Amino acid sequence: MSATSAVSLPDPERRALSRAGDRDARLSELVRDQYAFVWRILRRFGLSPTDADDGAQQVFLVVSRRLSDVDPGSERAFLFRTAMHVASKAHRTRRRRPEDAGDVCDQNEADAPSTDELVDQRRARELLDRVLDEMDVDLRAVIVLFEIEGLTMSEIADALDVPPGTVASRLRRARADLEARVLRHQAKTVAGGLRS
Amino acid sequence: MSDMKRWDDEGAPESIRRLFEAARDEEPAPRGVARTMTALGLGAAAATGASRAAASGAGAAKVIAASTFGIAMKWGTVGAVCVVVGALAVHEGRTRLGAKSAAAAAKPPVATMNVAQTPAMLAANTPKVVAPPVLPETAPDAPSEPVAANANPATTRAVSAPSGAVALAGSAKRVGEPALNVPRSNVDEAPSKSLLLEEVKAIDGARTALSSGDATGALAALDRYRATFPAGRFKPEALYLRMEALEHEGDQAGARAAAQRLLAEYPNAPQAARSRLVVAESAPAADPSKLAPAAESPR
Repeated sequence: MSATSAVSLPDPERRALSRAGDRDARLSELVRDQYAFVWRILRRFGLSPTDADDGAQQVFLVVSRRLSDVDPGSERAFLFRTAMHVASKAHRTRRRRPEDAGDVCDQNEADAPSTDELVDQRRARELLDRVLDEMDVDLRAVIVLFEIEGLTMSEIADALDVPPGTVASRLRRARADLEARVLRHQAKTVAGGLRS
Repeated sequence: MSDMKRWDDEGAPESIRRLFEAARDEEPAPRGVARTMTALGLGAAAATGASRAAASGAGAAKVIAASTFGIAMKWGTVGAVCVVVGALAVHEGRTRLGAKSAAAAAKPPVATMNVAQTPAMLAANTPKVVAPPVLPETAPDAPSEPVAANANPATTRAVSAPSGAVALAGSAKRVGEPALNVPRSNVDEAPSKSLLLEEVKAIDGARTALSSGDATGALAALDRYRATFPAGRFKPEALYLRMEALEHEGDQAGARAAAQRLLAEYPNAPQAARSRLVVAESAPAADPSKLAPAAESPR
């Protein structure tokens, strides 16, 4: 059998395999470029780092099944919606696992030797997550997407499936709400310190 | 609305800016990307962009090789990589793999595989398999059997080393992996590589069907795979795809059964995390979440 005549895949099969290759390439690019985005979304919506790892993987598994539904340019909107869905399910079905205990330990390591900056960052994230957790989910979403993840207004409108004007009005309300809650937490902390 | 700037740029209070900066600086562990790539069957080739180059080159056999490599990578073991790469390298001189097996993940066979060489390789290279264990085949949706049922140590070893998914003993021995999951009928005569590629194509068919939303077609493909390859080398992958397809069809009980079986038989498979999630999700809900309104399926 000559080497050159060895393969004789029918054209439809060739085309199908080529499409599969294109699909894998697109999926790979999405994972590489957007994994951190998805992971941070899950973190800001209340998942521990370990759960965010698992959740991000699940998000991309969903994406892999529905890649043909994702319009070019709307990837982050789709990823955000999927991440919200995964986060919601994770909250409903959450089980404490040994890894979670590690996460808690990480959060409580403020007493362990560490740089001031790292401790400050961790505390800042804890406060932010606490405040975000108290907020209405719609307001929380615009804060996370616009202020932290840097999505454009139109991307957010696409992700939340609302008119662009609604995004702007939510953002204004969200800022005011966030600031008030942060001030309230800081006041509580100061008051707690004075009492002790 | 386009005139709205980031709050940072509009004079947000220092306390708020610090919160945002801390959140922006948080990064996932690097292993997350690799783990996700592996779970998706994209492998290290995709992580380095090699698969994109291969796909744009778009030789059919290159894509087959990419798929083969991707499935092999699912097991995340050097053994599996060596097996596949070894099978390809043998044809090109039997000397290329040796010291390069560790580098194989970064330079997958897709970059070098020649379309015309595939069947020649399949015909020419049929390494002998030495005393492989045989895994019992059970119905995929049957209740999970305890792993202890496979008390044979050799079998247990093979189960816990999913690299057995690709059964070419010569390469496996190279990295000290146990002999692999091959049907007993193939022990005496070496397994044909064309059979291996047939298995890969069968699994890829199920995966492609599922990717396009055709869960029924995926399940049918998996049934065909089970019938054609009763001791198939990609059983964990088949179980995983069955789990996803059943969940896609709304059969939570079936998906849970498949997930439990995958966890019981292949606890170290890359799909284990996803399987655990499926098992957990199919359990009764514990605490209602305030995020419930956002639970709608993504478009």
